[in-house]
Amino acid sequence: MDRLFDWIFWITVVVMVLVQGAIVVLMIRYRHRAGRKARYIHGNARVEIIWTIVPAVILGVLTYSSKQVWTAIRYAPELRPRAVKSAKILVIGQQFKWNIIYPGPDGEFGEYLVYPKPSDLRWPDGKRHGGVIGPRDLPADQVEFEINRYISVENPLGKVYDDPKGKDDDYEGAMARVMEVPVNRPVDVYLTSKDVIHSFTLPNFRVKLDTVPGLMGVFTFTPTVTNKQLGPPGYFEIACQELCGQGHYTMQGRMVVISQEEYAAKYETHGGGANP
Amino acid sequence: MSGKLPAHPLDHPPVGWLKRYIYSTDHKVVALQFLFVSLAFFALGGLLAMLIRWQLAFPGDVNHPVPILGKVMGWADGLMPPDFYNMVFSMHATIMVFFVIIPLLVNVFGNYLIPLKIGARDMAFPFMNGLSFWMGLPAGAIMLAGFFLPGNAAAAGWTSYPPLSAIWQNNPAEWPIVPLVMNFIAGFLCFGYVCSHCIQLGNRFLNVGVSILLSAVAAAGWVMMVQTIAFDGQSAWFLSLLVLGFASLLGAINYITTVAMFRCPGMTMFRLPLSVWSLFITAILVLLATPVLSAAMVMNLMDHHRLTGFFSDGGVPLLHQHLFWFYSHPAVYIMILPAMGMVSDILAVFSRKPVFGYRPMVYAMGAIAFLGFVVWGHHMFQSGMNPALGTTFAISSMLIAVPSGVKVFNWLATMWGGNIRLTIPMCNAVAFVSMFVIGGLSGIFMASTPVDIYITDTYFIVAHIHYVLFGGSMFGVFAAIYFWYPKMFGKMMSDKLGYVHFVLTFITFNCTFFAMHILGIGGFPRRYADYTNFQLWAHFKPMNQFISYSAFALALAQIPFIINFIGSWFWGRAAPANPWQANTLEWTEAASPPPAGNFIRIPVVHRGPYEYSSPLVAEDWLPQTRVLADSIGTNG
Ligand code: HEM
Ligand SMILES: [Cu+2]
Ligand SMILES: [Cu+2]
Repeated sequence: MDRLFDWIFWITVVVMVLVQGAIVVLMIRYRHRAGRKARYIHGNARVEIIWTIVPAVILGVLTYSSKQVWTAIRYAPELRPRAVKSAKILVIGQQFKWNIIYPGPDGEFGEYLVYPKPSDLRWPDGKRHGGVIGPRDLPADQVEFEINRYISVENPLGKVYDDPKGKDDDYEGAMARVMEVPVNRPVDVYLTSKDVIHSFTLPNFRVKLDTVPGLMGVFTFTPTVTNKQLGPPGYFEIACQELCGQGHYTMQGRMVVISQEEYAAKYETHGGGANP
Repeated sequence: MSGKLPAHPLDHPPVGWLKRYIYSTDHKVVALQFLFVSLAFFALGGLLAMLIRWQLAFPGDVNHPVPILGKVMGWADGLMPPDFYNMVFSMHATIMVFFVIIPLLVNVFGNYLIPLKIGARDMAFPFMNGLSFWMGLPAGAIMLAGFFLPGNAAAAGWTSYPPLSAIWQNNPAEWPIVPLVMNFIAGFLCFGYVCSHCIQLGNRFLNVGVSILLSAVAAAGWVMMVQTIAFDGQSAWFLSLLVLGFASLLGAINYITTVAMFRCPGMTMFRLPLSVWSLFITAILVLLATPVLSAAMVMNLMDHHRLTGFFSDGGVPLLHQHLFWFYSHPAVYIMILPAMGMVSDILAVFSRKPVFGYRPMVYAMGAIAFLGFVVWGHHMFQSGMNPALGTTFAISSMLIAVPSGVKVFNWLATMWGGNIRLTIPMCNAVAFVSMFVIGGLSGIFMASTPVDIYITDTYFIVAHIHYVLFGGSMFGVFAAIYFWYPKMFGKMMSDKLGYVHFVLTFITFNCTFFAMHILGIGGFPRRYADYTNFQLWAHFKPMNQFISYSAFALALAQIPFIINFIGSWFWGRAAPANPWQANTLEWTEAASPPPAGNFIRIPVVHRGPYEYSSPLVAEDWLPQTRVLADSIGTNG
């Protein structure tokens, strides 16, 4: 992709220099002189065709190579051979922090972001809140308060506890923690959002995707060197690049690339939360 | 009277002062009204840009509190709070796009040039035309009202993506007095316009009295309704654009009908100046695209009032983006096509040559207009939409670069072999071409989907939009103002001030915005109130300060323009009818400024608009109307 950038860069630089040069030359060469008449020409079909076709071909080539790279990045999980096991990470954007969830040994995420509605019979986590089994039993003036409390305090990630896939997820310390990824292994980052649209960006890895409430996006990248080998500062910065409110610019996260063994030991041998 | 040409200017019934200068239906007066209001908004938008730049030059720097405003607002240490910053850039862009560039290009020059250049006495529907201005006022007043509400004006970017834009900035409550009065006045003026044309009770005093009464009642009702619907900055934003949409539709219908029906004898479609072609095509874009924006605004308003959940609250956030960009991508061509057309005219006049490839130019504009409707998704490559769509929109976006390239080459070829007079309009027109090339080329980076992953939402985008909108559209507007000012006001502008303005603007513009490309390639994020907590970007501070100082200089560089614009009106040399030796009807057939009804006689056209340096005559110009002895009109 950086190669593609370089190509476009040099093509555009050349075109720009040529055109700007042409403008200057034309202005000097054909500046007004008394008594001279300009050339009386209305156009020329041949040059029109040339300067339609030539840029079209160049742009066609660029489009084609863009498509190749784009497909390789965005369809990586589908295109990969089955044998390659990627590291999966779920990122939930929230004003103004990133929640990082690992799938545990089964490599599958449970369900998240399920929140109660005033008409619900039971709380999604199956427990009692506000002294009742469901928001519907609450007195009208308490519904909003209790639901908001559920969303912000009781179960901020909206985890569905009885989802079998989610039993071994490492989710408990999710809030605003450092994201760790293994080196030399494709990392699939799954993205969604709890509130508004954010954009999860790793500038060093040239990846970025909006996190949209109600949608699950995914992108893939493969780090090739650990932060230990790189030395200070020892982490990569994560930024939010879609305006998400007052604290948008503070929505900074950290990512550390660790060795494959370390990653496996930490996140793939045992689940988080439920069975530490 | 609408729909029929008066045979002679004297057919216009004698009208009083009010209907001649204020509630006029004369296309020229409406154009100038739009011009003054848009330039005032330009000043406001520019001041907001200064605030953006101050913040980015000195983020969190207690030694550089925001001048004046910091004290007035009573901010701690005079530092701008981040939500205020969000509001500032949101309103900056909103105002520049919807209240400056679009009205300047479409409404000012559409109104002024179309009838004059096609040999018509006025628009097809003069009353509706005036209404499009007077309806624009309440839209502007609603937008400005946001600044006075407790939660401040809209702060979700000029794109206002929900769910962020669905969050209330303050609870519904009575508006403060300032926006109430402002909106009352705007409403009163708008209803007053309608009354002044519709109330005919026979007696002058009765007419005026009843009109004032009715307008006051209607305006009071209007204000009540508006303050209920637009209770916070964001809902004011939605409502304002909804009202503004209606106003621009009234204009667009007029322009299309006028070009289609009111051309003078001999003025075939392919003898229209390119400026008229561009405005015609733009009007079609406005007509087709604006209803989509209006629909999106209504949906957003209902969401905002918690009546529906189209986009937030379980709705589909991306739907808003699709609707918004389905309007706003065509809108970026609404913001550049008229400038392209006018620049084509100006290049031909001052190169003393026919426009090279007239028909290809027309076809290219048609292609841009059509393709403009199928590329909106390139604003959403990283929005989380289906990646397969990414490639689709990348293809259409690359395609649209082709006709844009064709236009650039034709402009260069128009200059080639010319006898170029570097007047001020010409300097600005050439700058338009040069800056548009840079903006167009940077667009190619973004149309390349994988590259866009990295540069979207960085300063690369900011650089790009400013090269096309300021470097392109705004230089086009400057060129057009310098070019048609003598016609509009009957006075010549000062050359000296004009050159000073041009040279300073050109240099400071490039210092300001070219550097933004470099920030963008460094990944520097846009819409950040403070970047110093990021290691990745903290070292860009000196660069940001350079950009900010250039931007301040750019703002100061507009002072000669203001002096020139106002001063020439009072003290300028009287302008002859045709100071530039141009061929088109507004110069050869109408006085400067043209009287009501424009022409003494409806002109008859014999040839295309660009017969410069024709071998048929000794001079280097050949007006469209001139009858030659052995006249078989040559076509342009
Ligand atoms: C004095 C000249 C100007 C300066 C210094 C300036 C500065 C800026 C800056 C710094 C931003 C970026 C805000 C951010 O995203 O963090 C911006 C955004 C923008 N400006 Fe300007 N601007 C100027 C004139 C104009 C003009 C003439 C237009 C005409 C249309 C314009 C249209 C926009 C638009 C559309 C955005 C995008 C904002 C967004 O995406 O939220 N600006 N401007
Ligand atoms: Cu954000
Ligand atoms: Cu676009």
